[in-house]
Amino acid sequence: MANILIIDDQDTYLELCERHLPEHSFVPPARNFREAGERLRTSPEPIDLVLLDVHFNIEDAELLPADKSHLKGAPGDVTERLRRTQGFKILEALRPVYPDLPVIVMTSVEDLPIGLDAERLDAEDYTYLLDDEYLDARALRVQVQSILAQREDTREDETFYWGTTRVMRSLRQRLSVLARGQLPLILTGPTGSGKSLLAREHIHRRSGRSGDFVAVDLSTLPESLMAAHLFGVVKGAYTGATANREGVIERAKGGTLFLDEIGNLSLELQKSLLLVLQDHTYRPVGSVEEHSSDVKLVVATNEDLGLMVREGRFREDLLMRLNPATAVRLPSLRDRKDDFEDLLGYFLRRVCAHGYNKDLLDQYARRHGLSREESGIGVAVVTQKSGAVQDGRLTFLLHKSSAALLRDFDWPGNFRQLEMVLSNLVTFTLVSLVEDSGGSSPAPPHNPAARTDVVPFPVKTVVELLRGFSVEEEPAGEEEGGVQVFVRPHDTLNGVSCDVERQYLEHLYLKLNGDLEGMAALLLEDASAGRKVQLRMNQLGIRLRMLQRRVRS
Amino acid sequence: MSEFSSSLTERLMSLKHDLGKYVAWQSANLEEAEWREGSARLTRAVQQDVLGTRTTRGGASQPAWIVYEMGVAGMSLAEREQTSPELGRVEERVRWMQSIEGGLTSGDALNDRGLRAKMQEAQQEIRACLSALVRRARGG
Repeated sequence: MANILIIDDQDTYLELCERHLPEHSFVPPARNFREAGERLRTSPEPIDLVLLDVHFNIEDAELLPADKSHLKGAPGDVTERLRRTQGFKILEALRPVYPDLPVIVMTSVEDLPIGLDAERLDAEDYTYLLDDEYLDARALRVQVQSILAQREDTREDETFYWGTTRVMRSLRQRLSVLARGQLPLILTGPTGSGKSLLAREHIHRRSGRSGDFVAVDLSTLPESLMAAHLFGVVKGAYTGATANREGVIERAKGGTLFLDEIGNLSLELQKSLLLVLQDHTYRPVGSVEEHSSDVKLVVATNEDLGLMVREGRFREDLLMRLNPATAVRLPSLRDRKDDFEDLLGYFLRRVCAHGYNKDLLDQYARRHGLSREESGIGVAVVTQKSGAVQDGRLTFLLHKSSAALLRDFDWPGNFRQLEMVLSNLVTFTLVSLVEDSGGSSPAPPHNPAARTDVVPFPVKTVVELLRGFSVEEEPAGEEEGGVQVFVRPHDTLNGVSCDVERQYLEHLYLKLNGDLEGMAALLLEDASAGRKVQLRMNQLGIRLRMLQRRVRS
Repeated sequence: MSEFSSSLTERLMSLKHDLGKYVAWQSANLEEAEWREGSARLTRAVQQDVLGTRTTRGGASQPAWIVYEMGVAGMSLAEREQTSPELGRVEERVRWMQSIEGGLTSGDALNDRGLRAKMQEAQQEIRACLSALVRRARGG
């Protein structure tokens, strides 16, 4: 069952849809853009699909655009034209906020208002026009079902994590449009940000091209072999060329060629690549014959190609041909803190879906008699801050201090590194649980961390895994958390030990932003023992109020 | 045949939307058997489609013939000629609907199988003629 919003000035669609699509639920219809925005924002259940009429016989004040002073024509004509095309104005205004919301515009291609850019509409991933000229409710039903099914498929198949933020949704929509046609595309972004994955799973899939996706990492190819690898080679071209061999441009014919680290291409080969873009021709090494090329070229780099041009390391004409105006920069993991918790959930599900972690999960589930869902064991991240544990579903519990540690980590290797850390985290956590033959005794239901269907990630493991990736040494000194040991004459061992302990606890308190439960989870493996930690800090003479002020500042 | 002006094309598109689309909106989606046998649901659907084809901003219902008259109001003689024969056929069907307004309002007209068939035919012809006319106006 889907939750459908009808945007229509009358009840005509609602009556028809309620009769012919009884399996879906319809939120109260929106009569104009303002009401549509309200429904989409406030609907208790997310809206799955919008049915949007085109003609809106509504008051002038409710017609988009709000400012009509720049529109040409007699006021009456302008208003009438706006009424006849209002649905498209509404769509235009909704799209930046809801780029991937499926919208069926209740008109056929044949009925599109004059002057409307049908091609642009067609290029939008989530906008659909009616298949039939007049509304045939049965045809609409089929169309709705197919869109909803396709949406489910897309959700399942999506291997790149887009997240929920507006920036990423806009980026996704932009890439879907850029994926079409044969214009080349530049992807930039730090290492591990998913450029290659995006090229293969998103751009190539949406390119509508039937040929293969072929990827080449130019940073791993010796310069002497690059030409042959890209353009192919004919027998006898050089010593060792004992047979004709096709290059990647040929292998990607009709498909997509992804050249990673394009900055590594020599100036000479840049010229040959320019010909591929300009004339769709190339010559294999040693050949006098021109071959035709038909590839959608996607290049990636972490370098500033503009700077390389200024330094004479990259051809300006090639850069211009690579369509730099539409270059897409993928954000680093550091820049994606807004939906970090969702992102953790996504990657955890991913690292649990295959290989050793999946085996461990299966073993754990069998041992504790947990039911197994069709699509594998359900995995959800529940921080103590964020949510409830769902009965009957295996849930990983991430303490809020662990979530904070992961969120605040620098992640120089971006998503690749995050995936590796989470994979290790799942492995280390589950191995110890699976190997613990003592089993677990039934726990009180109010304590989620003690239930067998809830697996807490030890804070200690998170800290250790992140420490393993630290590249820089932490500078010494109290401010940065180093522990200094001063031994003065007549100091007792206990005195020195208390001093070290005091410094360590102060440092930990600051590091975990004053989270005593997190400290307890780390030090005592019991998040509920925050009070004990506080008492110990008091005993050691630590002035918590001062530390709290430092945390706040 | 001269080219249609863009304002005339837009007016015809509006007429196609307001009259052609809604004159059979509910009833075109009912099963053939219901048209053959007749039913309260069919009667309600036809009444809604023909007697309340469009609703004004003030909430008043307009029957098909009023929607038609508003759509063609102010059309010049030349434009009437240009839109012939399709618009003539539409007018003929709409006037027939108007002629049985009383029977439609009471529902009696739709108790007669022959009249039901004629109503279905009239709705379909209005749709088909307006479709063909708009296609012609857009140069299709």
